[in-house]
Amino acid sequence: MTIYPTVDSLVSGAENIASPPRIHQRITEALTNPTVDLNEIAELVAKDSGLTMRLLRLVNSAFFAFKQKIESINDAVAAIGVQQVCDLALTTSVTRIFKGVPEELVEMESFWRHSLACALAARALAINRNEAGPVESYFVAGMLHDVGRLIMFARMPEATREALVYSRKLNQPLIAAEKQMFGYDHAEVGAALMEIWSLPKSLSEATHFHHQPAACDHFEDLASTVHVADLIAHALEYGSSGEPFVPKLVPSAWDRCGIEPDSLADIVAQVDQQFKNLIHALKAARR
Amino acid sequence: MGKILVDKLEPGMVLDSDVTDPNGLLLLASGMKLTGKHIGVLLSREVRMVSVAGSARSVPVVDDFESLKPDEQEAARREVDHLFRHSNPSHPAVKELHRLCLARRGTKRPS
Repeated sequence: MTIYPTVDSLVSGAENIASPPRIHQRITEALTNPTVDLNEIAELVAKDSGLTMRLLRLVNSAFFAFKQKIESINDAVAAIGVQQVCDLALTTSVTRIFKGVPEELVEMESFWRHSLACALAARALAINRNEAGPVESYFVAGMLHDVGRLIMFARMPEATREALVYSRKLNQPLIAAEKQMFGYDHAEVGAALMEIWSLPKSLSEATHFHHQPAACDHFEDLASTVHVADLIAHALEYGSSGEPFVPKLVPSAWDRCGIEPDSLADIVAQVDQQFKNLIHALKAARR
Repeated sequence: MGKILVDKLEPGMVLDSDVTDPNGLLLLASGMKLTGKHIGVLLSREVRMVSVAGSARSVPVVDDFESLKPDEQEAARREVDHLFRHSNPSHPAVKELHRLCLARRGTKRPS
């Protein structure tokens, strides 16, 4: 009988195989301080020169449609706000990490295309229902929802290969194969990974429950939006994170998104447009 | 049609360039057909002016499925049905996603 790694063993030592977004931790800490000042945040981000470079490339891309070039982190913070800088810092640092994933398990380009489509759809859904707070967090949650799969591909490649084969041979969703074979799935692993990295609870909860959003206690809106966005990304066939099938829609999650089915064509049009712009910028940012 | 004040917008108008909020974040993309809700979003985010086009959409929506040959249509239908086999197309949203997915098979699209 094969023994598979536990979720804990999968993610412990994750600080070693990946560069965790420690900078995000520090930024988040600084942000929970009510007397935070912009310069302090800017300094934290600016200390990481690689991150600064990637972030500036992203901010200056067509995605943001700024008229003037943003030259420094200070300018970026002043232009798009501290919350957005933090969220983008997180996205650009995470997109660099998983370099050791075997190509035959998942093609990284394809994985990120799926993640990006989900991110854009989640953001579009949030805007569409006139979400009050900053919508960048929906983007980040969408971007990272399948990150658990990456660590599984990287740390238990043989086992995940078996799961992929099982899924394809039996025409079962990959998530069902994961659960069946390992006793856990990529959503749980992703959430555990985010906890190891001390990311905000909203992110880890939305990740944990993106397939069962009604079970999410405190962040059901975020989890529901990511759930629906994931389905949209699948239906649009933007890349793949390994799952060959469109998941089942949880009706309460759809209701929470507050849109009508015939608005989906518009969401799709927006995702298409923004996808073109952003994929180009993120490719540059990942080097 | 050119630039127009947001409080003069009417549902059905189509954006012909991207709309950003005062912080520069992309709110609505070019090609979007505005609904009352979108107009509300623009107002609440303090966007003052946007640029709208005539009635034609600049981002094509999706109905080139009919332009495929019958055997191509059949193949596409089978593939999309397979993709959705574990989903719930009885739900109107999933049904619509299925329709959009099928329609996109007929167009050249970014993926």
